[in-house]
Amino acid sequence: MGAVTYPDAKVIGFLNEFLVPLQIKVDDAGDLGERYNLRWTPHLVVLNAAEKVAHMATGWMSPAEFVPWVMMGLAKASLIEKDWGAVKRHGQEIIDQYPGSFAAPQAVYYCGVSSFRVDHDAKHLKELLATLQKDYPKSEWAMRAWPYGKL
Amino acid sequence: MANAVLWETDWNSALSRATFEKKNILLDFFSPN
Repeated sequence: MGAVTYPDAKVIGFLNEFLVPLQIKVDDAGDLGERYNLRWTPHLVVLNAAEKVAHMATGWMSPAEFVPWVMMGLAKASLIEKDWGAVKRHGQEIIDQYPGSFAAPQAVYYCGVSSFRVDHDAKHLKELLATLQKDYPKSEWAMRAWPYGKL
Repeated sequence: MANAVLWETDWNSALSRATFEKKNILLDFFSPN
């Protein structure tokens, strides 16, 4: 991450503007390692100021995948607060800016579910399924949304 | 604009900043080599 991903200009701008980046050497992790399931590095965690985990991953990510992955972390952090509007906003940013990323199908799912949580209209769940089947048919999120076709 | 990620290296400082700036934390456990 330190050789390729963190020196990337988009990564630098995004992390410095929207997050508090915290780097801890594995040998100095102490109790934090156990608390956040550190088993291997790189190990990345998005958490809120109340120390609640929103998003976690182990393994290297390219700059083009890392930024949308962190955006997904922000969406999921908003989910902790039940701020459905913010979940949708972050999710839509992923869909618009990084439609080919691994995070994009999950963003489609979260946007649809957040819309459903606001007005409880099942059309949002059917729409997210249709989008996933059209744009990301082989993603795990198309599978997870499959039951919505029965509504 | 900074030309590098401005990493915090202290847990408590990061929590204080996250609270004050109303931001989330990206925690990176890393091995130096």
